[in-house]
Amino acid sequence: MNAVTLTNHKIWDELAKILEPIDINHLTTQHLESCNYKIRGYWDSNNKFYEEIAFIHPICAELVSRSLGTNIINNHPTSHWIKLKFLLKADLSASENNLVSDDGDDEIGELTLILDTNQKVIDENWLIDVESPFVVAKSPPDLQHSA
Amino acid sequence: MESLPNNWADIQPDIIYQTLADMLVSFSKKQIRLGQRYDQNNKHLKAIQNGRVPPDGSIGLVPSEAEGYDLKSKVLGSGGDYRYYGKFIEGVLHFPGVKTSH
Repeated sequence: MNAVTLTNHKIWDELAKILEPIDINHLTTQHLESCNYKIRGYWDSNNKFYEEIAFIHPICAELVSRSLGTNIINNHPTSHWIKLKFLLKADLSASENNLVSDDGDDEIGELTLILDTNQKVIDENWLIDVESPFVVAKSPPDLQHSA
Repeated sequence: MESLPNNWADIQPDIIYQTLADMLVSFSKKQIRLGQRYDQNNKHLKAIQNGRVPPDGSIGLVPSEAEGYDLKSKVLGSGGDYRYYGKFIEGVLHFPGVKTSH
């Protein structure tokens, strides 16, 4: 089988060009505002459930990956999408009191946004450090129903 | 009307259940199998129990962008990288067993 190499394919330049006009900071700020700086319902990597994760500190976002894809249902392509993954950090320039730990760790987690072909956000996922000093994670009162 | 169980193993195909948010839902055999296979902590059932929620930042049911489906179940965090799709049939949100990434 002859494998086609995409290493220098123009598709990567096209992808960068398509995403260039998107204002990353605006996109993430708008999404956080739309969520009211809260996630209502979140499972951590141990499958522990949190009723709410609240962001209590200004956040800045850094794009860490971008991809294009197509969902296929019953062998029919149903929707094309753009996936952007951001690293979320506490915006320490906006900080008055110093919450940051000794080693300067300002990472809070990751936000993944899925955009449709009109670059409208259609889905999301989060990976949050629930121990971060920059978030408040609330567990449900009854821990028996943790999942 | 039966209440929606909190465990995929307790769900029967094509029975109409009432969710905590007062929505009527039903599931195909395939959907129940998908739930048992990929959602062992029943997170998507919890999302379905939650009913319709705002599109951003909440677990629950949100509008589907896939044609032919009305709502999709949204889980956030671990297990939140795929969705199950439902369509309304005579007022009942039916999950036929369609799963996609997000």
